[in-house]
Amino acid sequence: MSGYEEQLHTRAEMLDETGELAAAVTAILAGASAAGVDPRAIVSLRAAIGALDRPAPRPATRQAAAPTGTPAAGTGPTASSWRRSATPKTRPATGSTT
Amino acid sequence: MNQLAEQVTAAAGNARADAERAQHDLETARQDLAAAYAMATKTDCDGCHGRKAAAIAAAGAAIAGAEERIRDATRRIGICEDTAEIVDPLTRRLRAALQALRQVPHDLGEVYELIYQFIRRGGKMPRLGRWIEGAPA
Repeated sequence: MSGYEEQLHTRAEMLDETGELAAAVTAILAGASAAGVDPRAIVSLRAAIGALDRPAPRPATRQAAAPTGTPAAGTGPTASSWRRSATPKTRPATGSTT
Repeated sequence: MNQLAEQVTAAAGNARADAERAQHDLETARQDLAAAYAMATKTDCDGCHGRKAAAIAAAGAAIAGAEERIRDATRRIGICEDTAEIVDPLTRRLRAALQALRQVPHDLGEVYELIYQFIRRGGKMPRLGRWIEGAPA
């Protein structure tokens, strides 16, 4: 009877893994930095990465205690840990070109 | 995300409605059980003992069924609440990220406004600055 609700929960957990999005934006940021873009021009890119790479802490799910529940949230790699391993090293911006 | 949030809200509403219906059915079944226990039986049984036993069994089964439905609905409500605890902050984070990304062109335009004006007027950037025109860095 609870299959539909579990599907929604699983989907929400998948969407909550925003590490891949954060990594994509990080790659753009790295490219911009490598090209020497003025850091002031990419402040918002950093803000976007911050928003994507900040999963809210969640309490243990009720599903974890249920006999037939799906795996509890937070048991896999977090977005943060994923991004830490996937984030390319960026060299600092070379400053303004103006 | 909005669609998922709506689906979770609807699923939680359905589960709560199911729980209320099951609770109502449980109360009815308990009344039926009390009525079944109160059924009179005769010393000269004309099937009354069997009817009473059947009524008690039926009411007992109805109670068990309603209790199971309540447990199921309660579990579904819990899953929906867990899901909402994921979806709500995630929606806020994605909105914040989207807003920040939408700000990027404005920031670029603001920081490089003078350079863009210079290029639009036919100016030529020095070699190291030509990436801003799309040239490889």
